[in-house]
Amino acid sequence: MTEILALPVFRRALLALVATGIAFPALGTVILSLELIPARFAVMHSALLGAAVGLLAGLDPLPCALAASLLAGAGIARMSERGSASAGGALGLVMTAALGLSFILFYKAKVDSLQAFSLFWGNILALSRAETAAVTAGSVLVVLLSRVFLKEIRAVLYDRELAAVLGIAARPVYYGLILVTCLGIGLAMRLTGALLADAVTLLPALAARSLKKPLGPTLVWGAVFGLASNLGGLLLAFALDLPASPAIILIGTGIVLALRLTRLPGRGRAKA
Amino acid sequence: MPRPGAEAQSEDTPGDRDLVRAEGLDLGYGPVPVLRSVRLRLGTGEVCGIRGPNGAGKSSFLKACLGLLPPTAGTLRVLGGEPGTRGFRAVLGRIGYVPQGKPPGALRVTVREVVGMGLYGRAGVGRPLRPEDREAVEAALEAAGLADLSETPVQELSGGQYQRASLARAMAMDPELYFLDEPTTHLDARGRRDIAALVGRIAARRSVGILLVSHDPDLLALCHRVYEFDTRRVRELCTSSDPGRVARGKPE
Repeated sequence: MTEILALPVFRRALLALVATGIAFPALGTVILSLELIPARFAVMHSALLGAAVGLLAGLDPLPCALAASLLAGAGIARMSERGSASAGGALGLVMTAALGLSFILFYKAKVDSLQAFSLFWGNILALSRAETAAVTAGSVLVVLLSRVFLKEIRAVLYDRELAAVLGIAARPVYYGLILVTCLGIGLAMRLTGALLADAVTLLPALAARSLKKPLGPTLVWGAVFGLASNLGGLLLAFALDLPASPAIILIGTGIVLALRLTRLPGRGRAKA
Repeated sequence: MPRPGAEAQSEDTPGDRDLVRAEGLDLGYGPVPVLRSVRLRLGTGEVCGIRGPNGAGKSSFLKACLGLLPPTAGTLRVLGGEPGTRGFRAVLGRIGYVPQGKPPGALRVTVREVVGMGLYGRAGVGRPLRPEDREAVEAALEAAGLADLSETPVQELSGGQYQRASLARAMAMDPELYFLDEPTTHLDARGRRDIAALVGRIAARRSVGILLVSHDPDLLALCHRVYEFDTRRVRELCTSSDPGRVARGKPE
């Protein structure tokens, strides 16, 4: 174990998993509270398309994926203001079109299958120093914003219209929430891949939500479950020689299912 | 928890200062008109009721007063401000709004947090509630009879308890003006009585104005004036300095 820890690539992976494990479940809580489950698919696919454009243009795919995520986020926030962000039609179109275009760009850019594969499934052990710094900075930003603006976030997640009536700057807070969430999804692409971003965002948030706590404790529990699934997944991957992202997904899913099973009615739930 | 100066204001003659004034107000959603030529006034110390069939524009009028629905014509002033304008956010801190319906969204929020939200705007962006704000929250919880339920998620409250929590949020703000949107709808007899009693206690403080949308006779009995909103038009039914007479349909 000491030998593994001595490897810079492993230390970077560990830092990124700890940082995102603590911070990114907060983004999952935003997705769940704003009912953006279909919308986050569109963001994940847009991030993939951004990375594909980057590869075709010979650029670093991560900044391109982040830019595409933010653009998708701005579009979703705008659609949501018109009351259509959870509508499946337009988002389905964006997802399919983004995936189709990505494949065309991979083909035209002659991206080798291993490189394309890493965009889909991520490669935690291939993080560069700059990527690790970006992921860590993103995580710190999420934690800081959640801490400083907790009451504004709570009001907007509870009821955006009411928040505006209460004199809170609901619109900027809402746009901020969506954009930071999309930024997180874009960053998660390097860790778990575009299609498995849920591993570090949604699954720990689902687990935390099943505890039925208010926002503050939900964010704390999300961080606990996020850390557990990220580190547990990494250990599982080493122990069984598995790819890290699917292993993290497995642990995260296991935590969600275990909590659901132990909190079924008649299994010692405190309150009905 | 009366605000500073509230006692001095209570010396005013009821109705002598406009809290809400609408003149020739038209409202609509896009090309669909909802209300035409609304003329309505609410003064200090007054309680005004709005009633009418579904879709008549009652809630839309409240939304317009809160700056959520821009008028298509006419003038609307609320506490001297023009709803929807940049400076109106400061006015919102002087309005206690109780929307209709159940707890929104999927987020679990405790009763204390919901009541505290009324003071978020006043505390400032990124700043926690001040000690005096926390005291106001506790006082409002106590006044609404919710102190024992303060840590309960609002999703676990009955309809009546939830409406009391919404009223407590408004009371914690110690506002000059209350907008109550069907606060007793879907409540049982006891729940309706509890809400009417709370609103009655607020109305007894003659420094505030209350504009309420309701068909509840107990709430309408508190009104100095009742407006009937019908499809695209508004009628003032009756006015009296004696709310009881209005409720009995015998205006001055």
